Amino acid sequence: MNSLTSPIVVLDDAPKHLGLSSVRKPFSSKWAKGGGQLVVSSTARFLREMPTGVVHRLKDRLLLLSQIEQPTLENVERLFDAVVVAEPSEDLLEILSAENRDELFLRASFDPVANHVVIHRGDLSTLVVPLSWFSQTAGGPQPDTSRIRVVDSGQTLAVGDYEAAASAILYEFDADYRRRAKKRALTKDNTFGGSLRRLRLQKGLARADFGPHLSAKTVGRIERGEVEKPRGRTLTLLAKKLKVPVDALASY
Amino acid sequence: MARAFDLPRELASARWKVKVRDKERTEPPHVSVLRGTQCWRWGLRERAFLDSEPSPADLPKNLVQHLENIHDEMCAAWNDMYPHNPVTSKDDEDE
Repeated sequence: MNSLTSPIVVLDDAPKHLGLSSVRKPFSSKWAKGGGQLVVSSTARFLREMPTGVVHRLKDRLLLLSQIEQPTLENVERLFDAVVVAEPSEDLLEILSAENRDELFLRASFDPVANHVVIHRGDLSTLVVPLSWFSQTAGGPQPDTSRIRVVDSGQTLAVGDYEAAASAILYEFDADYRRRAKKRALTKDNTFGGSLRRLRLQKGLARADFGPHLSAKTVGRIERGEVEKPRGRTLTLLAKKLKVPVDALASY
Repeated sequence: MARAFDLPRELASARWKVKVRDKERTEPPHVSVLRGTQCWRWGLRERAFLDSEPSPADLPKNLVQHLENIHDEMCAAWNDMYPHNPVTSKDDEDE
C-alpha cells in the first residue's frame, strides 16, 4: 500500500502533551497531496464506540500514543491494517510530519524466539530484520538487544551502543527504497558490475570469497564490466554467496 | 560504537550531527550528515555529496567547510570501522 494514501489514525488521550491539535493543519495539507488523511481522536472515546460483530478490517493504520491492556489491543488490532504503540515525543511528531516518514523508524523491539528485530516505520509499516544482519564492525560494540531504541529522529536504530543507519537497513531489505536511493545518487553506476561490487562490499566479502568455483580475477572482471553480464551458473553462484535472489543482484 | 565528529558550537546547537555508524551502506565510503529527519551522504573519496536529495544546497557553508577541515579524521574513522573497503582503495586488490 502506498504510504502517502494510507490514512493513519492517531489515538491520543493527551493531545496537549504532543500538541497534535496545533499541527493537524500542516499534517492535513501534506497528506492531502497523496489523498490521505490524519484523524486525531481520543482512545477512550474510540474504545467506547468501537464496532462489534463481524467487522471488515480497515486499510487505515493506527498509532496509539498510550499503552492499553493486551486484550483491548487485540480487539483493536482486528480493525486496522497495522497498530503501533509509541510514546509521544518531539521526535515522533517530527517523523510523522516528514514527507519521507516511510524511510524513518518510529520504534523497534526484539523478538528473542525468532531472533528478529522488529521495526515500525513512520508510515506504520513493519520491517523485520534478522539479528545476525547487525554484524559487528572492527573494534565496535556487539549489538545489545536489551537496549534497543530509535534515535536521530528516526534515522538510526541503536541496539545497545551499536548503531545502524536506517538507510542501510532499508537499502538491504526494501527493494522500493533501494530503487529510490539509486535514483537519487549523483554518481550513477547502474551497470551489473557496479551493483555486484556494492553488494559484495555491503556483505563484507572479498573477491576471493567466491572461490573455488569463481576466481577473484573473474569477479573483478565482472565488476569492472570487462565481460558481458554473467548468466546461468555464474549468476547462481554469485547470488548464493551473496544470499540474495538471482533477479535481485542487479538492484543493488 | 558509532563515530560522531565534534562540530563547532553553532552547528551542534542547530542540531547538525556528522556520524559514521556501525552499520552503513559501505560503498562508497561516506559520513552521514544528519539534521532532524534528513540525511546527506558526504563521499570521502569524492569529497562531495553523493545524492541529489535532500539538496546539498540546504547545508550551511561553514558545515561544508568543516567537513573539508576534518577530512583526514573522517577517513581514518571510516578505515578503522570498514577496513574491507577503505577510502583510499577504490578497487580492492584482492585478486
